[in-house]
Amino acid sequence: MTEKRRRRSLRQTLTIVAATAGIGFIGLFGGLASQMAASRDPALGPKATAIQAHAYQPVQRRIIKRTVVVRKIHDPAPASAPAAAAAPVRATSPAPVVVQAPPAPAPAPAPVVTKVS
Amino acid sequence: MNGYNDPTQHLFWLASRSLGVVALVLMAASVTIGLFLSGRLIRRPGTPARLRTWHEAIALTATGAIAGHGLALLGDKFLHPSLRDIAVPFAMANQPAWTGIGIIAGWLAAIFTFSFYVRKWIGTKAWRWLHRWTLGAYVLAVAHTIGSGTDARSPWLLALVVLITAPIVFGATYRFLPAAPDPRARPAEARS
Repeated sequence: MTEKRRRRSLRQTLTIVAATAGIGFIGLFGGLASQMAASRDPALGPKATAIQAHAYQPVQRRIIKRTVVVRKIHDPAPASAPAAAAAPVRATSPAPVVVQAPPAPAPAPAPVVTKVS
Repeated sequence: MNGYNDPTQHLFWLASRSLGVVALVLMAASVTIGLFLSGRLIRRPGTPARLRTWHEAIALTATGAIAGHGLALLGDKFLHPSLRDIAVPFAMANQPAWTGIGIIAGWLAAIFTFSFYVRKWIGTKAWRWLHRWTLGAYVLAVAHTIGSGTDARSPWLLALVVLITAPIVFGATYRFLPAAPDPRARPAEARS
């Protein structure tokens, strides 16, 4: 094989090899990029997943339910009374506690009067 | 999408990784053909000459891919290495041992490839001795791939490494094992 022929053959082979390597490179690049986009990259995948999980974590809310107790007090007045028709409905707090006053102190004993004649 | 799963933010890094795998495959192909040629595994007339051309073309492309593998890292804004980091072994702060091994393998591959063109000056004997160490460069490249490669634990890459290394193991075993004595030569030796 002459030197000129050898060089031409080498150039042709080099073109084929370089083209094949280029196709391989594009395929690998695409595969690695799609792997990264899917958060499955060996180096960055776990970090990406952790960040996404943190970003989409639902906010925990505490719901406080307030219950209002409505107590209907039926007026003991006769039903015929007009006032009874519109029986007052009122939201009440617990019935007031009636604090009884302490019993009045006993009257002081009457003074002993002695009659001296 | 965030900074960790947006490929557009890691284009140079992805390019470097892809070129690294391409370079390893090309290097393996070149070493395999070299071993098959030197071990005289292919004896069909005309085939060794054609294979020699393929061997040379693949080695040159592999050297280009190795250079691209390192140079692409220069554009990576996260690793951000300097020219010294990618050219001088053990200079890079990130995994200095494994990247250092990879840089040595890259330089050796380049030296072995281009030594072919200075064969007239260094002599065929020295070139042959030098060329034999290409296998060592391949071993270092595999160590670099498994040690520092991002995809080293990916099953597809491990399968690929096994697939491309198996013919090399076969070729090297055939090439370096002492040849069995030719049975046809015995009667002649006995007679003499």
